[in-house]
Amino acid sequence: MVKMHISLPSAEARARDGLELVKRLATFRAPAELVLLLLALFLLSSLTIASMWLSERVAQDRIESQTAQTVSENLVSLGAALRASESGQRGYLLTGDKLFLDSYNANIGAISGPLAGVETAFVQTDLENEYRSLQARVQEKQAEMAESIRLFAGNERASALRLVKGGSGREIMREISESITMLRTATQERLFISQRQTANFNNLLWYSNLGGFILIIFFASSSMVMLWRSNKTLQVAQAELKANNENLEATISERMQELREANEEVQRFAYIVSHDLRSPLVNIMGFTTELETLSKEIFPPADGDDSSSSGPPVEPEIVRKEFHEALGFIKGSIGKMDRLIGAILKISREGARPFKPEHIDMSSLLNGIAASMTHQTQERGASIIVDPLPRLQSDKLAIEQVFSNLMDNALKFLRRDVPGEIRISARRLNRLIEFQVTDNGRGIDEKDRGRIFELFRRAGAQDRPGEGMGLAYVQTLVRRLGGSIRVESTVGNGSTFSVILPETWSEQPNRTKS
Amino acid sequence: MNGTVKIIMVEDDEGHARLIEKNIRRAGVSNEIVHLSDGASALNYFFSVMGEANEKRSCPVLVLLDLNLPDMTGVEVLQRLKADDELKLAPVIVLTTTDDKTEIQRCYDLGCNVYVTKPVDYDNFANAIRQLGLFFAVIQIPDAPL
Repeated sequence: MVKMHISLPSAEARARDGLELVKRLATFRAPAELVLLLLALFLLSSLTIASMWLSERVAQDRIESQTAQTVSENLVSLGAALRASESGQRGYLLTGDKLFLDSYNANIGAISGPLAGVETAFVQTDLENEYRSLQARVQEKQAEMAESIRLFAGNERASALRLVKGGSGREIMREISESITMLRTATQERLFISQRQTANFNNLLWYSNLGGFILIIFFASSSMVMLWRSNKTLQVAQAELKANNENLEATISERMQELREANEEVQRFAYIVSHDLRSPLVNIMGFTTELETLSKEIFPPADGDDSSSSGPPVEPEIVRKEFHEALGFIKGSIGKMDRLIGAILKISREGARPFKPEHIDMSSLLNGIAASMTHQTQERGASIIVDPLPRLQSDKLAIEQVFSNLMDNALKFLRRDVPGEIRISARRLNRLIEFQVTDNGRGIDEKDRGRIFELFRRAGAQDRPGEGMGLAYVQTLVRRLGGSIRVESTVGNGSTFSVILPETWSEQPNRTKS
Repeated sequence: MNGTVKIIMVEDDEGHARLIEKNIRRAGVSNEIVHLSDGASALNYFFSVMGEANEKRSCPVLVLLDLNLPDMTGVEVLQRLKADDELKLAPVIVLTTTDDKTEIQRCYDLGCNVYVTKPVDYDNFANAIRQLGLFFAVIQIPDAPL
């Protein structure tokens, strides 16, 4: 009656699951994002370094190509200065005009500048030899021209002309021209190569910038996707957590309600027990005292006279009757007390007996109970009809006791004026099954419908045998089976007891609300 | 004299009923005692038997009421009595094993005249009953006013 299992494992587990989820999020998502971030950082910084290096190279190449340009120009002006000084020399030798000599002098001075200017470009390259020979030829040419001018000025005109006619100067000049052409071509080639390289580097730079741009777009969008995704998971987790919290509250208030009910039941039980156990004690005490009083009549005091025995002596016949009456009440009360204690023990034991769930064929079980009541049903001209019933996974003994008590009650409180009919039916409510035991008996007054489930309480006329235990016992069992019981009735027309039981019994309490 | 006053005892326990009767008699009260053993028969007596015999007014009664009845609570019987215009004048003595304060108060609120706890200590109980008997002997049950 008062046995109840209170536990909150499911709610706790749900809360734990929520935490687990959050933890999983924290440990799972973070590395993926971290890896992405590091990868992005690495790729972007290497691209930046590559870009910087490439720009450096391009700048270098530009300087190189400028240098090549200058070299080429210097070579051209060297050639031009040589030719101009040569034509000045020849004009002077031909005409003796000082103006040609001036032109010669001016151009001979313009030779050394360009020649020195290109030196750095060729020294320590494969063209150094070529440059050195050009240098030597230029010096030879300068010396040749200077010699002819000196001879001419020293009035050795014939020797000067001979020198020119000898052709060595012309030969040197041709070599110089060839050398300059060769060097210029080489420089042009160098320039060309460097320009091509610049173009390549420019291309590379462009590609690397493009790659960087694409990578940035890719990383940005993928981190956005990741952020969105983790946000969404977080939201889901949050919603779940919230739902869990709400569930927890509902579960707690449900359990609180159950506790409150159980507590009330305990109090009611204590009241009933103290009340009902005291009744026979009052009798025992009362009649014992009566016996004490009688003993004065049965064993009169030796010195016979006065005070204690009040009134006249009582007739022996009456004394004997009263003596046996008192004794009878004392014995009866002791017997009653024993029965009450037995009943309380039975109920409390039923709350502790471990259940062994097994498959129960309800139809055959209840038909069996009905068959065992054949004697009473025939005596009363009643019939018990068992509709087809679903199977159940539960404790067979408890189920049997629940239904045999209900059927016994139905049979006990049938009306005497009409043929009794008791029907047992069932219907499925999701994972619960509702069994109904319906009779056409005398019915139960509305105000008694709660009382009948209390220990030692009975309703209606007290004209049928019983202790007031059956329904209290049934309720205890049904509750332990995870179900509920309620009664509907019309006085004079019959009652229906509805027992709602889980299809499969499990240790976890999932009491159904009635 | 008071020989017309009927004592109606509503008590389900035979032993208690016998003890109460013995003690009332021992106190010298010889009024007729009607013993009813449950709530339904008590109500039946008050409203059907007495009602049909038109005794509700003419025959004054004193009620000894046990609260712990098998079919209903004594409180309910008390309520029904006090709701009746004629019967509400009858003195009611509540006799019970309960010493629950709220229940005692409830009975007084409903109009019970005396509340006696049936104790296991029999001497006190017997005394209380005897005093009640003396009480019966001296009181005049008032006629119900018209």
